[in-house]
Amino acid sequence: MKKIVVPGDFLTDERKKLGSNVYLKENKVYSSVLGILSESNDYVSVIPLNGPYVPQIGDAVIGIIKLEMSNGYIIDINMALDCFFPKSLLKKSLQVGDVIFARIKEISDFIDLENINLLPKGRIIDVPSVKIPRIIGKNDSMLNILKKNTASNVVVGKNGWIWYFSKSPLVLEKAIDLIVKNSQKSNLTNFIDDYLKKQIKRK
Amino acid sequence: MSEEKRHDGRKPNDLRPIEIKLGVNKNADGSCLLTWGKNVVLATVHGPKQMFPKHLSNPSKAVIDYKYRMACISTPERKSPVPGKRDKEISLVSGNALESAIMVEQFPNTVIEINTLIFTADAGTRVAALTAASLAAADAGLPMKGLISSVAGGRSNKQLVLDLDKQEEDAPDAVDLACAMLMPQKEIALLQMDGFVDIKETKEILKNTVKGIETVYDMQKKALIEKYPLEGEINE
Amino acid sequence: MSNDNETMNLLAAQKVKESLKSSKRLDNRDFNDFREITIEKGVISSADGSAKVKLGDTEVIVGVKINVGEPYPDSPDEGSMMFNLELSAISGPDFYTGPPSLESVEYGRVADRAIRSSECIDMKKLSIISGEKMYMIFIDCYVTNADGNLIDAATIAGMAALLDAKIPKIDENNKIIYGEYTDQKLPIDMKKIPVSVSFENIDGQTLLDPTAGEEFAGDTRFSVAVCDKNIISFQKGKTGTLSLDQINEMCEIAISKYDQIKKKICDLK
Repeated sequence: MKKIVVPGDFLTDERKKLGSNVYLKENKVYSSVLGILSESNDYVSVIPLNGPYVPQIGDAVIGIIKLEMSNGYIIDINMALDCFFPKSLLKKSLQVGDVIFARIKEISDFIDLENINLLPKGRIIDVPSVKIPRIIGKNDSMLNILKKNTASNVVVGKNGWIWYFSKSPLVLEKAIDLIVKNSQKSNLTNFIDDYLKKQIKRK
Repeated sequence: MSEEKRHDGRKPNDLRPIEIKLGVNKNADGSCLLTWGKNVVLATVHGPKQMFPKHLSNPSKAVIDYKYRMACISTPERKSPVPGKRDKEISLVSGNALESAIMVEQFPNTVIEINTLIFTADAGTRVAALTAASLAAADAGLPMKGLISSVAGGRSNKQLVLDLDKQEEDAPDAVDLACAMLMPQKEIALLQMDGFVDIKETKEILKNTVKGIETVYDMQKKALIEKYPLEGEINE
Repeated sequence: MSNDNETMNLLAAQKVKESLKSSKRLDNRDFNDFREITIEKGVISSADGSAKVKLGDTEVIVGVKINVGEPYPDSPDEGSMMFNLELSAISGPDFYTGPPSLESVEYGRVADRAIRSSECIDMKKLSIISGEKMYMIFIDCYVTNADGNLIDAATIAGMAALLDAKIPKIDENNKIIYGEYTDQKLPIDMKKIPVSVSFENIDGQTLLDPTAGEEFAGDTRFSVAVCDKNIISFQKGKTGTLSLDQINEMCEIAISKYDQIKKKICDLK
C-alpha cells in the first residue's frame, strides 16, 4: 500500500538504514518532504513528488551554453549554481545556446563537468528533476516505450531537462506530461504504452 | 468565560472557514491560494536560485527572502503600494519562522524567494500569508523539518476569541496575538502580541491559539495529501 | 549574512557557549539579571526632550520632537506618536550606514508597540483642534554603541526622553515657535510606564538582557513588554523556536522585573 507523507511526519523508531529525504531526531525518523513513503524491513526513504535539482557526482545532465568567456563557457544545468568549463579541455568550440550532455565530475563552490557531448538540433522540455526516475522507468522500460512508440530520439538528463528529436513531438510531450502529473499512481507504464499506441494509430 | 456567540455567529474558539488550493501558479516552483474567511492570499515559492547581488548570499545556507505584501485594492481605503515599516517587519519575522522549518543548509549560496500577496484583507493577514507560504514551500518540494501553521488569537469585547476579524480587532479592548508553530514538533516559530492583558489571560489566549494551530495543521496536511490521489483514473 | 566582523563574532559566540556549559555567563551575571543601567536626561539641547541610556556597554541616545500636524481620519481628536530606530556604522562593526535595515525596523517597531500599547500617553490631550490640528510626537533613537539588547535600551530611553520633553509654544496659526517652550510636560500617566524585558535562548537556556556575544551564540530572541502585572506586547525574534512553557516562564520573569526598571525611569530628576 502506497502512502503519502508530509514534512515532519513520523515514519519509524526502528533502527533502519536511512535513504533520502528523511531525517533523524532523538532516534526517530521523520520525513523531510512531501512524497511517497518507501519502507522495507531495513530501509526507509521518501520519494519526493516535487523539488529542486540537487546535483550528485556522476549524474548525467543536460546543459545549455549560457555565456562564452575568453577562457571557457558558463553552462546552465537547471540549478542555482552555474558550471564553468574551460576551452582548453574542448576539441571543438561551442556557441551560446548549444545543448550538451555531460557527467558531473566534482561539486564544490562550482560544478565541474566531464565527457561533454554536443547534442544535435532538437527540443528541450523541463520537468521536475524528481520525476526523472519515473520517466526512465525500471531498466529503462518507460523510456523505451516512449522512444519506440513515437519514433523519437530522447536523451534524459538527471537535472530535469529532456532533449528529444521526434516525428510526433506533441504526442511525446503529452505523454511525458501525463507521467509527471500521475507519477504517484501504479500501472503507469502499461497506461502510457496503451495511450501512445492509440494516439499514433489515430494519426 | 461566557459562551456568547460572536457577530458572525462563530463560537469563541471557532476559526473562519479556510480553503486551500495548491499548485495554482504555473510559473512558480510551488504555490498556494488560501481563502481564510474574507482574507484571500496567494503565496509562491521560487528557488533555490542564484542570489543577486552575490555578496548578500551566504556560503553556509540559503537566504530566505520572504515578502509580505498587501495589494493596493485589499483595504477599504486604497493602500499605498510602497511597503511600509509594518510590511517590512512582518516580512522579516515570517521569513524567520519559515527558516526554522526549511533545511536551508542544504542550499548554500542561494536564495529561496517566497512571495505572498494579500488580495483582500480582513484581519489575520500575516498568519494567513504564513500558512499559505508554508504550504507553497512544501508544494515546491523543499526539504523541511515540518510545516509552519499559524493562527491569531486574542480578546474582543471582553471575550477571549480565536481568529479575530477586522470588526472584532477594532474593539476598544482588543488584544491581537499572532502565533506560528513548527508542526508537528509544536515549537513556537513566530509570536507577536499587542494589547493590555494580565498574565492569566495571556496564558489562556496562548493555550487557545495553540489549539487553533493544531486545527490549521490538520487542514494543511489534508490539502497536501489530497493533491496527489493514489487511486483513481490516470488523468489526461 | 556575511560581513567583515564574522570571525570575531564566531569567537565571541564560542566563548559564551563554553562558559554556559558550566552554567556561567561571561560577566558572572545571574541568568535573569539586567546589566547596570544608567539614564541621563536632557542630553540633546536641540530636541524637545532627550535621554541617553547605558545598558552595560550598549548605548543609545533618544530625542523627542513635537510637531503640529493634521490628525488621522480614524482618530480626529487624538495626537500621534512614532518611534524610529537607526542603526548605522556608528553602532558597531556589524552595521552599515544606508537605508534602514530590516532589524532596525523590527527593533523600532517592537519598542513602538511597547510604548503604544501601554497607553501611557493620553493621546486625547494632544489634540489642539478636533479634526484639524494635533501634536505629533516623533521619537528618534540612535544606537551609538551596540552590545546587545537594543530593544530594552531603546524602550527605556524612549520613555525617559518622553518624560523629559516639554511641549513647545505655538502661535495663533498653530505653528510651532521653535526654541520656545510652554511649562507643560507631555500628558504621561506614571502608573502606566511600560518596561520591556528581552531574553536570548541559547541551546535551551534563556538569558535575560543578552550581550552582543550572547546574541551571536543564540538563535532566538524573546521580548516582553509589561505594565505592572499586565503583559502589553511581546515578540519572538530571529529564526529559532521556543516552547509554550518557556514563553510562560519568561512572561512571569518579566513581570517580576517591572518595579526595578520602572523605578529607574521614574526616579529621574
